[in-house]
Amino acid sequence: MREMTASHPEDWVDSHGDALFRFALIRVRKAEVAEDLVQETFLAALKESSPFASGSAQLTWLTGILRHKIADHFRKKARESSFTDLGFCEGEFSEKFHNGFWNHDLGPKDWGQNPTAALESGEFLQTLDNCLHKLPDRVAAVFSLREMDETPGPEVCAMLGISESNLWTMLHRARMALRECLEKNWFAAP
Amino acid sequence: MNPFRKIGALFKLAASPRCAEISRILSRREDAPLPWILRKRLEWHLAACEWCRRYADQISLLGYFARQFSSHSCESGKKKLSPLAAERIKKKLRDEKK
Repeated sequence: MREMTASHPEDWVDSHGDALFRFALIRVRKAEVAEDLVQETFLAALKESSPFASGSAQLTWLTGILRHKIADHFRKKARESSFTDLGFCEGEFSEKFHNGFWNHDLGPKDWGQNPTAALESGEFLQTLDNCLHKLPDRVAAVFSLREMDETPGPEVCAMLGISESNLWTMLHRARMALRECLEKNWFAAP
Repeated sequence: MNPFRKIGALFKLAASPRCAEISRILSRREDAPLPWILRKRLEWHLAACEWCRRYADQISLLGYFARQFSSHSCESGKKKLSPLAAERIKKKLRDEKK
């Protein structure tokens, strides 16, 4: 049986508002949009009444609602104008290849034995944030849906009204650009 | 179908793709299961090409980085809901409850 909420809905804003705002912000990138989505999340939560009194279970529940709100936001954007972006990184770093093979001076550099250790550094997370911000909005949205949220490809295509091959192209270019940016600014920074 | 075209298509199928094409296939592998022929081509190419092995490892790290970045940023990021927005949302919740 569902327990009625013990915490006051206005307390949600104090305890979870910032975390939800940051969750939305790294996905939609505009503070006003993120604020609106957080508001919609709380309003929807009000109608459902929290199954959890407080704490991290409550945050997880609210994050689940926010995820749906973000998907709705992207769906609406896609209805307004096409989500396909084939302009970004159109050359696919062709200068890095010679006759289709890696040009050895410009190919992927060695990232060391334990590249995941970089995550312990706040500076690295900042670098990653900067690199993500260099992606155009639609490419970044597709990347975050696929990689941060692990949304299956066909679901992303249906949500955004894009073809599977365009999704692959956008993701390929996003990965190329991100890899390159992290290498330049972190793993092989001068 | 013209037999010459058929033979041409077979040659194309058997021809080993180069790194630029392999990088595309590697990205696709992150998103969907590959058809058998592409899996085989990838296997053959990666066995011989250190650059593409490196590229493969690095792009599969990107997803892990992105997920860690997301959870880290939600838990302990510096950005906050502006006091103005927080107040506005609280007011909205009060009005809605009435």
